[in-house]
Amino acid sequence: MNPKTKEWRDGVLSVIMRDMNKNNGPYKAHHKFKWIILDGDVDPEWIESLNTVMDDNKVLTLVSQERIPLTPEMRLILEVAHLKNATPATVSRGGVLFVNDSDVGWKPFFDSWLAKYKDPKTGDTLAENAFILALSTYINDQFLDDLRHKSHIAPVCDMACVQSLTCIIDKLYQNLHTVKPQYDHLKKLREEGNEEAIKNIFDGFFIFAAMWAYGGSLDEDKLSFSNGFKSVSKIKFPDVGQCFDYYFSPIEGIWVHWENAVSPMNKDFEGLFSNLVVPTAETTRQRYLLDIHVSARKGMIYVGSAGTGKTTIIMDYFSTLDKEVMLNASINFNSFTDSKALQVVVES
Amino acid sequence: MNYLSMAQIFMGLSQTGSWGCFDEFNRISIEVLSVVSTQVKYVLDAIKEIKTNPAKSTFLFFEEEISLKVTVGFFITMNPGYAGRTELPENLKALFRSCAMVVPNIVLICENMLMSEGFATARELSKKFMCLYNLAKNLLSKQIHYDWGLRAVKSVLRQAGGLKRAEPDVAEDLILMRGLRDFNWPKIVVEDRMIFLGLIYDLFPGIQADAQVDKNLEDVCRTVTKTAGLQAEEGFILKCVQLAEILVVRHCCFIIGNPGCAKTAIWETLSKANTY
Repeated sequence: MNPKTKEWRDGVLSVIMRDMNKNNGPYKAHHKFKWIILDGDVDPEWIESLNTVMDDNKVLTLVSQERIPLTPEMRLILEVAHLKNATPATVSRGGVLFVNDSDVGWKPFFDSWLAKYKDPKTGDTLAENAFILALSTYINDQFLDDLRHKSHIAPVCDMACVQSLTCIIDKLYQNLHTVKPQYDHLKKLREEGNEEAIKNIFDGFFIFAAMWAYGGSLDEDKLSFSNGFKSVSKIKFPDVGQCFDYYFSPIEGIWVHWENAVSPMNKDFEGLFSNLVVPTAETTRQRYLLDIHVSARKGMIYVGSAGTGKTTIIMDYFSTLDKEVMLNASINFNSFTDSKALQVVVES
Repeated sequence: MNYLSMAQIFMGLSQTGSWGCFDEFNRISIEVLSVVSTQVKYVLDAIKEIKTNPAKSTFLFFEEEISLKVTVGFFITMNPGYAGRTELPENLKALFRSCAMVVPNIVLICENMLMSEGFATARELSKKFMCLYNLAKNLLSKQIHYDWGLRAVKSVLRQAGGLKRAEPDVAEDLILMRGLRDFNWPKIVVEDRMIFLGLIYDLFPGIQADAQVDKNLEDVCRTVTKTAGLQAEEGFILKCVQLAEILVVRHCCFIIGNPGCAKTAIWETLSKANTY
């Protein structure tokens, strides 16, 4: 975006603007709207080069003394999260559309997601009803408000939570239909017409997804979150431990401690002793969540202080993947890594 | 900007004897500025020399003999103390006389602009206008994207002028009120909405004006949203239409909001609606 100033080379923006202005390339004279969308944080370093474009001069002045005027159909749209770094000179030059969190919110997203289950052909009205009920039971305003006052290790927004919520539920739902024992169980319940039990499964899915989606990023307040969550949950948690210590078993319809899911240690491990990973309840549940997100092709972020096993868990997970299907590359970052260096690594 | 391109500018100005105005001068990095001060000094010294010795008409500018017309002049405009700006070095400051600029009396500007846009009761309206902006500045929460300065005043006035010409028979205060409300509405955050509306209704008592909405565009937006598999919520459609309204009057627009609050979806919907 920044034109290189030392020796003049056209940047992305100046090329696009010139093409729009001269109707080169993909831009045609009959186009009634030509928008340039600038997505990302505003930084005075580059935004002020646009000062002359943004005010009434409507001319982009390049360091090479070239001047590119804005034609009447051209518009600049900047999409930013905040203007903390922008100077008043910049702010006063543009119109502002402020989108409040509550203007659109996350409910439409949830509705879109639910619509999938509403579809008469492929849908599952039972699941839809169960999820709607669960949403109103667990994720109410009071809950969200409390959550906002708890301390998170990384900043989160409601939308992100809802996205992980739906992502986890989708995967659980999919597992229910693809994993043999689970599907057999579901079929049996369907044949019996035992709707209550099926609803119970979906309710469990929702609770499991919600506790990780909303509680996953908590640090010190995990305990109070867990207590609150355990008390509202319709499927009762065992009294011992936090809600995060359990996973939902659809076949039995109850909460099972992660310790029961730990796979035995690989005693015949032949690599370096330091590379040996002993599975525990913690690594098992982290792997499970990692697996959910990877199979949904979603990114994940692990935040924690040094030595908490972030790398170990992820590398251990990667080592179990099929190398033919998934490749991994670790990239170490430091303050000198720039976008170019990253691009080189990613492309290689 | 590097010192070589600055040297080019100085050479050009000195040879033609024209005046140069350097806007946002303190955005030049400090390394370049220190060279610039020497360059300015060279030209100023040469002017002095030629004035005392009229026979001479050239001077040595960085090892190049160039002609000089004594009418040459340099001016700087800048906003001190912003992020990303440097402080001018002392030796450069010494070469220019500084002059503090005072915020102009906006009421007068506003009155004149209203008059030129065709408002007959400009004096009264301009008072109300500025009263609203002053109150808004003080009473609403301090958001960094709020701007109640001269530039914002100008764009509202221009828009109000457009409204006035579109409907010359409608009462003037109604037009101005509608302009003020609809122009500022998109950027008011939820907490300030009631306060802002209260201010407007207090200043223009007894006036009820419905927002003018482009029903056609709204419907198209709704269809586009549904085809994209999204939920056509009222709030979402409203923001799309507001964006369209802003883009009519401004050629540059910020869409501000927290992550995941549908910023991208808004402009994508509108762009699809425009080409629908």
